[in-house]
Amino acid sequence: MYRLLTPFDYFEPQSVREAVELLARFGHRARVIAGGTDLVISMKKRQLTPECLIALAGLEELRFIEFDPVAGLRLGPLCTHAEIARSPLVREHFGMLATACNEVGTPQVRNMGTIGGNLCKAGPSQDTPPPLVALEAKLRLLGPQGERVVPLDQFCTGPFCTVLSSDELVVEILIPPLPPGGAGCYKWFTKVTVTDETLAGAGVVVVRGPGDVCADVRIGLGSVAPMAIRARKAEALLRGNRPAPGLVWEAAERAAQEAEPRSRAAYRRHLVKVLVNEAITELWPLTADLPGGLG
Amino acid sequence: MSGEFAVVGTRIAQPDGPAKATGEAVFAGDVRLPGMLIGKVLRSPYANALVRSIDISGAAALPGVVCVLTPDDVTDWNTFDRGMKDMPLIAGGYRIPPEEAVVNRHPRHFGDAVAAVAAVSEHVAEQALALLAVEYEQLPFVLDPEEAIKPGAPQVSPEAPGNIGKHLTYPFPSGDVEQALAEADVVVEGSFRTPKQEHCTQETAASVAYVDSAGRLNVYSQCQLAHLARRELAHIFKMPVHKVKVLTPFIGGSFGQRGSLCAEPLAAALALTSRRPVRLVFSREDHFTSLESRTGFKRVTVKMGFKRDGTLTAIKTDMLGFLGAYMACGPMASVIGMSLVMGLYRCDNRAGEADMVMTNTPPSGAMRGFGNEVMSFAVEQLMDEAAERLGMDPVELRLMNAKHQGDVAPFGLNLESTYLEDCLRLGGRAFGWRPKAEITSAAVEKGVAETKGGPRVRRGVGMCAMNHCSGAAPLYLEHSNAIVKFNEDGSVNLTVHPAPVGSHIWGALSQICAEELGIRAEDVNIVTGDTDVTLFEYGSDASRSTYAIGGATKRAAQQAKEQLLAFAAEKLDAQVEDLEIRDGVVYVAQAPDRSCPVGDLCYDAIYSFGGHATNFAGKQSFEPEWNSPIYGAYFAEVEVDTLTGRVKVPRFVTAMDCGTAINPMSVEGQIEGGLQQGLGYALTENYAIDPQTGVVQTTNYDSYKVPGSMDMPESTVLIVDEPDPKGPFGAKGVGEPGMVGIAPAIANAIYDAVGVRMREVPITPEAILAALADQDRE
Repeated sequence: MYRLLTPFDYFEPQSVREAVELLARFGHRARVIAGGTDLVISMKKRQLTPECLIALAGLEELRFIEFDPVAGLRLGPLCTHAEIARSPLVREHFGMLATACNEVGTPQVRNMGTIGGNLCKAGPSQDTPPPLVALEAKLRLLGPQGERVVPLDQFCTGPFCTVLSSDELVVEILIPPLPPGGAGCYKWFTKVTVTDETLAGAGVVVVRGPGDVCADVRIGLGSVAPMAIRARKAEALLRGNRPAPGLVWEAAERAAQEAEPRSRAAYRRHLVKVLVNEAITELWPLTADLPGGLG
Repeated sequence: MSGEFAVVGTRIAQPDGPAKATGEAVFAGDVRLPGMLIGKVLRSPYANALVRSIDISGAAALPGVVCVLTPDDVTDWNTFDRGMKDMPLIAGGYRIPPEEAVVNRHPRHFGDAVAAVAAVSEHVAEQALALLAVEYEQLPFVLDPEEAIKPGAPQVSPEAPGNIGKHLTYPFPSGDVEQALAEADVVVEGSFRTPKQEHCTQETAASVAYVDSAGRLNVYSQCQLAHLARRELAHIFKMPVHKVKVLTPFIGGSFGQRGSLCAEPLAAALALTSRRPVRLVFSREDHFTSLESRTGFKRVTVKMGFKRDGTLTAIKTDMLGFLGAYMACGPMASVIGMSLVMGLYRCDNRAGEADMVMTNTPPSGAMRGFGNEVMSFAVEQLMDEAAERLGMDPVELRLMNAKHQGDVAPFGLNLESTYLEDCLRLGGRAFGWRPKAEITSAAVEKGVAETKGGPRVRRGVGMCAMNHCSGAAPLYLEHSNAIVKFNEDGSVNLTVHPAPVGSHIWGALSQICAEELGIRAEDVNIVTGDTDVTLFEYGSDASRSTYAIGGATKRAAQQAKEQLLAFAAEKLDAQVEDLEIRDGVVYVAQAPDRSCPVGDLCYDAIYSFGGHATNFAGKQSFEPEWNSPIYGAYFAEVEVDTLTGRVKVPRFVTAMDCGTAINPMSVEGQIEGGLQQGLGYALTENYAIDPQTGVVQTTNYDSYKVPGSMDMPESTVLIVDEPDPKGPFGAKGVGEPGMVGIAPAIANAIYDAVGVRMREVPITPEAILAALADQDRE
């Protein structure tokens, strides 16, 4: 049941440093609010009743999209899904992330919701984690003790749980460049309607190596496990081999076995198979004669 | 056809449009009164329970709490039937037992109201609810109708022995069905299942009530049947009817749900107890757990017999419906559905019956289609199956069995106009309908990957036919009234009481009134929304407003016009028969130089010093004894992804014989809105109750999925604009039919695409995959 918000204190820090200080001061009694698209709902449902909110919206230093051929893409956590989806840099180098960001919620949610908030929520059925784990993204966290960098697939520890401590902020999302001959895509299937939540999502990166074999493949699955996961057994089947249709189908089936869905489990597994098969089948021809990576 | 009219048939802007666009329009939840309290309702967390005690001390002590209502506090009031419809003329004029109290000591379903509070703010009211300490005794419950009718099942209501709320039979049986089926060349049969569907009104249920200094209970009510609401509220609170005043604000959607009392009894009870104005706005969760939703059917079994040449000779139906914990409007869904669908085609042998079963679930009731959608889903799929077995085109089979003028209409009356054939032909042409063999070979064009020797995505086409009613004569009370009063500038005030639920009814009535009077639609002011002011009006349901209230309006306008023309005849020195009104001016036929503006005549009559002062006004009661069925044909194209089971509907064509389209824009809006609602019924909306606990699992739009604009097909609406001899200027009702034929047309298209018959809605991807797997095994 959605109810009126209960009273809370509201802070608008002027710098990341100040935000971290506020976090250190209030700890678990505080919540960070960026776009608020998830937090406000949780508060209306009384799942969360923070005493104070620390609003990041004014922190321009957390809103950037930069690309470097060596370092890759650097994303500020305050970038909205809409900003990422329409960024020429993201679309050129990591189209699969733009695709996924464009699939989050509805236009209103995409215009308000931020990628940092989305990742910190760590919900099982979100669209940005599958492509990001396939791209081996890392998060830079800042706290009173300083900085640390955590790979995304070690950031989540369970549904709605992360390694982020109550006094830390995500300050950057790093995506390394794809190797030459690499291409990626995001495939998804919604629950019921077109704009619905994702029932199963697969972010897949394929790298063609010498001898026309699959030098590397990374399969990120979303909505089919407590958190976004890598289908590593499926990846192992393909790595070093030519992705002939039979083998791709076998790998897709293996990926489906690696999924651990709860509700609609049989159907979600089936969808993983369909999506992974579709992704690799589509990607492989694209990797031929690729000068650089194409996410 | 509309060429002969000046106002009818034009696409006027709605008179209430600017108020809605600017936010000036007042809806129930917008009402603010001095000293107004906010009401909140405590609902049972159990499917069946007894309230042993409620400790209100904590809540009552909370500052700002003005009133707490528990079952102990409502015993002086009457129990009631929220459906208020104790007057159907069929089935012996059956009555629905008034079993519900304002708050219930014996809550019979998850979400049943057990207590209510009124407080100075929403926050305080919420806190007060949390402080109510209720001691429940949980009782055994039954959720499934098939379980409910077994011996020894928990009894839901003392009024329904064996949990059979109502056993109803088809009111217009004929011939000998068993013999006809035995003699038929081809017999098709099937068993179907349809769920509850929530109305998903844009605005949630809301009511504001207060007792004025004269001791009258004033209630802002969204009820579609305002005068019935007044009668029922007077009954509940044991007040004379004149002590209750029902005010109808703008209503943000209804689709049949506001045909019953929703928030009104609770708001009124809190106002009567606190002696303060009280506003009660239901949450979406309140809707799903306590209001009526579409009557679901666990099983609808239909058997149809045909001669080799395609003649339909027999139809027999057997329905098992679930009513939920209160009977309300639910039982009639079976009778309306049987009557409409079994009356669609010529058929000599017809019989049907229904068991409407009580269960410990939120009540079922009326929703757009009111049973027609259920029976259409069954019968129109079987028609398709019969066509295949007979080697006929589905359109041809329907054309062959279509009713004609002079046949018996679905509700047993003489059928005076039907253009089903035009719908089928026009719709088919616009859609590009071809015999199945041709379509199937042409359909194999789209597909991402080849699977099982065919394309992954298969395209299919399907169609169905439909009729619906314009009002429910002779099954329900039909009584409308209108007052037309001329103002001294030649404009008129039209006093009527339809429910402004978003169906453009103000516009339609102003067009009918203006057409009759020869004035402009914008010169008709609608006076409405107050039972002190309006004459009795049964209300807006059963697609009757344009037809029946429009009929009363036309008659009242005619009466006012007669007075005006008699006055004009004297003034213009002419015979009444030679007068006509065009564009607000009275002309003498063949003498265009002799004319007088309507406004001048009205002014002279009102500001008269010659002893003949009069205010032209007409008042007419209208009780339609007939009901002009509306006919339609639906054509769907689908794409079925055989790997995921997902069904997409890229294209839909609807052709509707709605009589004269008073405003074609409104007709198109109704039909396209119906398409969206029908699409949800067919594919996405799945009202879910936990079979272990009776807890409603879908209580908001995160779990209950209504199709959005992205899910909508490209839609074509064709209006067969032929006047009906009975409706005002030839109009029929068009509110409900839009949604009725969607699911069967889609189901038939799915069969065309992948060869499986889907007998249950919503048709989910999993169900498609399961059916395809069964098909593989066979």
